[in-house]
Amino acid sequence: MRRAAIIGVWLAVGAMGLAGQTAARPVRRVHALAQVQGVPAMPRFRFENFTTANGLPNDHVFSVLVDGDRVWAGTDNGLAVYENGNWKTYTTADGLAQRAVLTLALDKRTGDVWAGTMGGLSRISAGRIDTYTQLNSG
Amino acid sequence: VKRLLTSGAICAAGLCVGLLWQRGMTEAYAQPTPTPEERYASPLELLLSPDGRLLYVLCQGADEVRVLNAATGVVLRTIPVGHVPRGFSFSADGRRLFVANSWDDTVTVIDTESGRVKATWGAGFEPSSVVEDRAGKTLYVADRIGNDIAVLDAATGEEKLTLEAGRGASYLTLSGDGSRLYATHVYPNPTPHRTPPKSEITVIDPTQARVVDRLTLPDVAGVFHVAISRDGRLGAAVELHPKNLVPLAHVEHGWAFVDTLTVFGADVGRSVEVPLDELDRYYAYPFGVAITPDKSRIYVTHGGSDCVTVIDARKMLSYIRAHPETFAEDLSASAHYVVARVAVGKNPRGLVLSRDGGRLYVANRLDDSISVLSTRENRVIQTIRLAGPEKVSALRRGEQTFYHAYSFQGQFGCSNCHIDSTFDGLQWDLEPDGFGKDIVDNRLIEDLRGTEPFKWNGGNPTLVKECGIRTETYFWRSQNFDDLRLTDLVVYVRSLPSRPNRFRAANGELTPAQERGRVIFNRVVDKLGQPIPRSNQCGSCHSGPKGTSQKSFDVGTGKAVDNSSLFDTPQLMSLALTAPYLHDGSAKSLEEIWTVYNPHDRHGRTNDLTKDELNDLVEYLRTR
Repeated sequence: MRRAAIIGVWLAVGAMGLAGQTAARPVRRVHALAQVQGVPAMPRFRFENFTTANGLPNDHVFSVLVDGDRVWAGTDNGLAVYENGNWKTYTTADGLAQRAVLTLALDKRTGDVWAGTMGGLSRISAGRIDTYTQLNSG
Repeated sequence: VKRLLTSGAICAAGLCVGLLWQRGMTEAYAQPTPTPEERYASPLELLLSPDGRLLYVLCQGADEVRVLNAATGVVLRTIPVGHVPRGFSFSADGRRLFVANSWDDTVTVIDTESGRVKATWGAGFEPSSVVEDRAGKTLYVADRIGNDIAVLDAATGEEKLTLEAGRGASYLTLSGDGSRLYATHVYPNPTPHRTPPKSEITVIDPTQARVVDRLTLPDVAGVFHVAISRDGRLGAAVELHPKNLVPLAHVEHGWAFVDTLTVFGADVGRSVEVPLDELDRYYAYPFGVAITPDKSRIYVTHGGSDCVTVIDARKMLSYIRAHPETFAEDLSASAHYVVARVAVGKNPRGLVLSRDGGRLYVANRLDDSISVLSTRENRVIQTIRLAGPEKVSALRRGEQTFYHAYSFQGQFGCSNCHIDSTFDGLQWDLEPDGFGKDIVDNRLIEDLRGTEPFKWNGGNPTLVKECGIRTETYFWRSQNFDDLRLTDLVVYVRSLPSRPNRFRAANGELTPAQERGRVIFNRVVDKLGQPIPRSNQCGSCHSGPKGTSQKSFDVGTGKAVDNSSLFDTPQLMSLALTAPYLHDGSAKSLEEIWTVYNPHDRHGRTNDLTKDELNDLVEYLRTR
């Protein structure tokens, strides 16, 4: 992924997929331009949208997590990760607790990602998924 | 909580281990506990000093590191370390030696100049291997029970974090340039019931203390050492490849275990599993692996077959390139790249190559010797005897039998399924009663006295029958043990002590949750005020100090494929370690025994409990 995308803002936009607001220049510069003109002009963001058309597993995106050069998206049909310009999807077949991923968190010390789903909690660690539910754990 | 338990366990370990070991030995022999001078050295791992003049020997049985003149074999120094050391390595600058003590949960730090112990640090649950990063700032410790890699400050020993590894994390190897650390594990990672096992090589970036990759090892359960070539382009891990989903009758119709090597790295381009066995001869329990500096040869020790396999690495890579399909189970393949099998001592384990690759040192754990091989001639040119008892005791003979591959064509021995005298995390289809019938989970074999009968159906009243007739009939499918050898084996198995419980405080006190769980375990009235029938109280079947009434019951866990729903009551010691559970391993965790497999309260009255109360019960069970 280009660096410009990393300094941008990633939004989960409900049923419309995922929008990456990527500034064409540093964010501070955009704000300065708005002040000089004295009008509430829209910053010149470039929106890059992601849907099932370009790799997301589902357009219902509940959560987004930026993790270095990767972007994780919790969707209604699996967990997707955007890396090197491609989306990869993890599903229950890979060990994900449930298909609907509501929330994501990054353990900054280990790099592990935790996914809260509608049917349990999953830890994704270098591609391996371990799942904890009320049935199999405390 | 883990840190508290760790410190408690460290304190308890010495006392518990000492008492249990002493008791086990006394019960087995009715003889006095041996003095340190009477203990076998049991060399497990080897290191050469950077100048190649000193050979460091990790003596697991004597709890020592012995420093030898590598040329003459003369012992120059003996350094006491913790209990049951399992791994050791030099610091990046060579000035310190780190030793992982598996039963104390500690790392011993030794000054290599003076030979003195400088520090002893806590390091997770059952440390089994230890490696310092190239910068000399961080220490990585593989914890077998913790299933993780503890990351310690190399100056202070303070634990900074833990990284998730494979189940039974045990062996670590740093690449030559220090950019990658590879970790293997001896028990398979959890997979769905009755599916092939799966393991991994955990790849860590030691500069960031992060897991960056996991090389999947399909069909593999029991991965031991991993070696990386000096240029970092070729990796090799040795492992067991079991066939546990079909009846064990396949011992004589094919195989039950293949011994394999997974090679990976830029020279290979992918991970490839390579068989080490031959069509009618097997080389069991591959443990140590080394790659020569010029990458021309790979050496593998076979703990069950008392030999070293010599592989022509270039021929092997050529064969791999010519066979893009999987050939792990094609036992004819090894003829294309195995160039020699060199007989060494009993139960060869760790090995180390001299700097120029001209000599290979092999630690023979069960006859207290070091074999020195000429790699040019592929023969033993020297055998170094380590000091220890001259007489081979019944216990020692029994251990030798346990680790030797007695089965048909030398396929496997007791230790294949009881790795380091524990278990293997697998479920087996043992008897020739049809595919998928009477599936049984493998059980821990520690502190067995008072847990008879054996087998899940309680069919074997004694260890003599369990280890003798039953093993010979269903496992070995080969020659029988003679009476003396069987007696020795039983002596050894009966002597195995229970390991320290990491979930129980050193002073024996229970945490509030564990205490609440203990009350639930012992209750006689349910939450509705109704008496619980004695037959359905936890402590009725799981009675006594080991948690077994030694009787069989039907607790509603039988499956359609079982010939009977009556099962022997399993003992509860070290229960936390031995997932999965139930006779067939269908419960992936302790919780699932009741959340999934006890719908009608036949396996104890539990359906009146809240989830928190069930959690308390599980917390208590982990202390057993």
